[in-house]
Amino acid sequence: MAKPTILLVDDSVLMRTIIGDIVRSDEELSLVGAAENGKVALEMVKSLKPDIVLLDIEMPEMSGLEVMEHLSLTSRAKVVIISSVAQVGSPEAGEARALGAVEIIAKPSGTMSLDLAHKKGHDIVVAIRRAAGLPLPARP
Amino acid sequence: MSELIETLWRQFGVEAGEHLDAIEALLAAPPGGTDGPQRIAALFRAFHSLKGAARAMDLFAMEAVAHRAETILGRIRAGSLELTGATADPLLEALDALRGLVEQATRDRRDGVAPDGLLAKLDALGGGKGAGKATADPSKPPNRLHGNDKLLGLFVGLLHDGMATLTRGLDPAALDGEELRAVDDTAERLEIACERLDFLPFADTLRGFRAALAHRDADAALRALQAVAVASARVGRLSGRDAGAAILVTLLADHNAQALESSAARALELMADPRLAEPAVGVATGAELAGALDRVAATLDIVTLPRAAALVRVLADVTRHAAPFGQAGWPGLLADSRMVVERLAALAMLDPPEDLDDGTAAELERRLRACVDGASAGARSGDADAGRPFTAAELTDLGLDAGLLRFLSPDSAADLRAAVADPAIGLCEVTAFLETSAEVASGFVAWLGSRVQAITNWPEFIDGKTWLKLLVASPLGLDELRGGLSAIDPGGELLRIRRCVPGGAVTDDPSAAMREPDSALPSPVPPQRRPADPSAPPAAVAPAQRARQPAVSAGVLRVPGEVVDRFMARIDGMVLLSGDLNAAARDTGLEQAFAALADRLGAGDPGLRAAQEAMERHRRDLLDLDARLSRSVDRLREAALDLRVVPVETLFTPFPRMVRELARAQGKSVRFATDGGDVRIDKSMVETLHDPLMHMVRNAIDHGIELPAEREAAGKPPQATLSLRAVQRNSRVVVEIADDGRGIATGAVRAKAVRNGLVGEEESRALPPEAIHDFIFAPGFSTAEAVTETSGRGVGMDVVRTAIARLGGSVAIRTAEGEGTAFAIDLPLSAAILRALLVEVGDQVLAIPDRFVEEVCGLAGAAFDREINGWAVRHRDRALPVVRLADALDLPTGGAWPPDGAKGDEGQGMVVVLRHGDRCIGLAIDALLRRGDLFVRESHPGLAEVPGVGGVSLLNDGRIVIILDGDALYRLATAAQARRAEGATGGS
Repeated sequence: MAKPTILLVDDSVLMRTIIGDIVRSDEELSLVGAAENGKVALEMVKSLKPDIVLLDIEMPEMSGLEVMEHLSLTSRAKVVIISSVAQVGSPEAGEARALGAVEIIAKPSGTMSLDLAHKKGHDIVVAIRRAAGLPLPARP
Repeated sequence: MSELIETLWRQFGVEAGEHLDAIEALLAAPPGGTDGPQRIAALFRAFHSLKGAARAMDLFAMEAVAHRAETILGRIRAGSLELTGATADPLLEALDALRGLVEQATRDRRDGVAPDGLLAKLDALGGGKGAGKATADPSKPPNRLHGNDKLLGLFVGLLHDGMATLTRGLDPAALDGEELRAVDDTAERLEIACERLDFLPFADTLRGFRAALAHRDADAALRALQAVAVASARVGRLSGRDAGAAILVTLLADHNAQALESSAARALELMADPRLAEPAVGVATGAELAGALDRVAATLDIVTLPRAAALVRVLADVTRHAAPFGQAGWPGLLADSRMVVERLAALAMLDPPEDLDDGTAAELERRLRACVDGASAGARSGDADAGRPFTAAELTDLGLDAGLLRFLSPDSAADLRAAVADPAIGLCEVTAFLETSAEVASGFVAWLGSRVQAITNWPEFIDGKTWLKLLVASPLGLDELRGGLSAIDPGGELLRIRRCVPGGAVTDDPSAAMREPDSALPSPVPPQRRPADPSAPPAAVAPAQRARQPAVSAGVLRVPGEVVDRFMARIDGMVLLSGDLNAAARDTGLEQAFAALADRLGAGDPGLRAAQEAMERHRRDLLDLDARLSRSVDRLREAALDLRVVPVETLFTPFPRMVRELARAQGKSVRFATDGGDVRIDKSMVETLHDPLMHMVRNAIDHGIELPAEREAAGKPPQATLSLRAVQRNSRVVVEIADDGRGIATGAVRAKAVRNGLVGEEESRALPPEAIHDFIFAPGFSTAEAVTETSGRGVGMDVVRTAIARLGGSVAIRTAEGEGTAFAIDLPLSAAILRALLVEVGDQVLAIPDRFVEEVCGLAGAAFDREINGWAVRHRDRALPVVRLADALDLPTGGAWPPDGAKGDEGQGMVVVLRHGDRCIGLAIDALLRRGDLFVRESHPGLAEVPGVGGVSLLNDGRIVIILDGDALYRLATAAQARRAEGATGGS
């Protein structure tokens, strides 16, 4: 079976590096691209047709929620929100859910002190795997 | 791991600095103004991003400050606070604190402490922890209706934008694979949108449209588009927005009107044919008429004129079964029918279309049925047994499909019985397409009348076209019959015949015997290619361009990009045709023929002399016309290219900021200059060029430009200069990226090339510096470089070169150690058209870009010498290395190499002399076709990675041409030369 393909959308290079590293740490996932804003993301979705889009909410040009509106109409990709704005119960989380986000998860923190791929990245990997329908890894 | 952490800290520093600068600028601007809300949103985002970055790096003090500032801005955004001096001051304090914390963190790599009292001050404004969120809530309630309305708006926009693309599905046969995919892509996106919005019937319609497209079923696509038009109109009405239905409706109306006009005209013409009244030859004409009438009825259905459609169907049935031919009342009835068809066609063209009145339709239908009944009764009264209906089993025994039952009238059943009873007579099935060529149609009708007896006929839908199938009986053998048909249709594309074998199936169609007896369809022919159909008019093209509604504002015409693309494609077609005309007009054969004629004539017959002069004059006129036409086409093409070009400025825009950031991150000082932004280049090139340029600029800063101290030590100004400029030279554009950095270290590159096995150590010493520098374009060369966060991300200069080659361009390096490096990207003004030499190797047509071709010379009689590096011939007093193009490209080869003149096997060998800088290599080819302008299509990514391939194009005859990339071809040829040399040495 082909590995689920993943597009990462975040305006921060830092976040793209951290999250990209987390995604790459799972060999059953394939990171096919990274976009720095919503407009680029929509173009990339059009050409790459990823299975899963990891999406930040607070972005210049076009917010994650706006991106979701377009995505929900033009792509079958599943959307996993990675944002510190959209905490459980927040209005953003509600809106993201209404627009079809399959998972909502906080941004990674504490990258420096811990082994990020195995500890802090765990939740993100779990969310992606759940969205992709892959078996979940054991908690490290 | 630690390397990643280093990278993260660097990125953190750059990003945090950027956000802090942004906040500073935003807070410094005077409050209020029209951009107020955007300013607040930007401030909010900046603090929010700082918070996220701080959290990722375990900087809790910084996170705490940023979080509180974000909360305050959340309240301002929600309208419960205002951005005044009282709020701005604490934010400025927060900014200063954050600057300090960022500085400390990047220096010491650890967290600091927020200044005393700051957190409390911020909390007071933000309303304590979490309060900001609460106040933000009422401003953004999760509102499903709002969301839906917005989605609906987006959907209508998508629909409107996609409409132009969808309409191309009206003529699926005219679309190539790529175009078909584009239409399907648009339909799929709309289908997904419909599913998401629960417009399920609309989604089904779109799915049906895609299926029709996949089968290239024009009728089904038309029906689906009709449904799309209805659904879009409804969406437009309900949403109060323009869903683009009007465009589609207009186009469809045009299409239908055209279809109706042509099919009705054909039907009327056939109905006037006097042969229709003669039973012997009326059959085929009647069948053709029935086909035309079927199409009229189909269109009438689409424009929903049910009475007219029903009547036309009855008429088609009657003529198809040929029953009334020879009946006394038939000619009069035919004439009346003709008048009715003429009238209903006119009524259907009205806007809105009108149906036939009930009385006329019913009256004519009654008369038609009466006529058929009369004919059948007459037939039955003859030989009772002869007219006895067949059973399915009887037909199967005869080797016929049981489905034929439907098409056996009592008359044809009697004919079939008579044919079967006679052992000297055989049955055959003929498949004919009579719509493209009048000659074939009339020849076929004559053939039917003279050689064979037609028993029955029926229409069959194959590959998007309605074919006529006939069951015929004849005493002639199959070969003789086939010979008769191929005399009418030498290509064998339009007329085919097969023998029906008793007890089995139609020969070469074994599946027919296995079909269900009650199958409604007669045996289909096995998969066949669609017949060549050059004379068919390109349907619905003209209205497609006429009916689009471009938005006009202030003298600017907004036209969808694809319209321009299609327009360009048509002009390219015209350029090619003009080239062909030129070749025909300047054919030297004609000139020689005239010369020969003049010689023979001498001073003889004055009448002939006059005729010869007239021909000469005509030829001069033709040449003159050709020259004027080609000038005019050139001007047209140039004018059209203007439609696609944009200033190169748009490509340069993101660079100043990027350069500033990269330089700051690396502690370098760079002055960035752009020039020539007003040079215009093809829109599509902007997109393709962006990444390669980005890569080269990054490389320049990462590897080329030195740190200020280093520069000063080298006696250069501490601030480096990086420039990006564009210059137009005739029909080409040169984009140059130049820096005054350290230049490319030739020695290092050579060492690396040797290490990577690209070249032998000794060989490398003999190479000139330019050839060494060229190695940086070798695949994989840069990936081993130190990977920084900005360059060396696995995208090497080889990718850059490939991208540029795909645009028909090339890239050259000028570098001097210690002085700097300049890359010059040389591009055609339009990526679309390329002048190339077309050659043949085996049966593959290849194109070599004209500017790489020095000359073409014959090889016949040339003596091959073994040089150190392989085979070579003496040419213009120099040794020209020659290699087979097939060897260079790893294509299959035949015959001996090198050709041995003594054995007489040098053949008609031709050599293309390929120029690369000041070096040349000869490429032996099988045949030289011509020189021509090619419309370059973007090649499949898989193909683009094949070494030496720069793109693909299509010839007028539909053959695919592979366009070779001159630079890569030169490298491949020299490599093949070396390989052959080793092989030859090893073998002898």
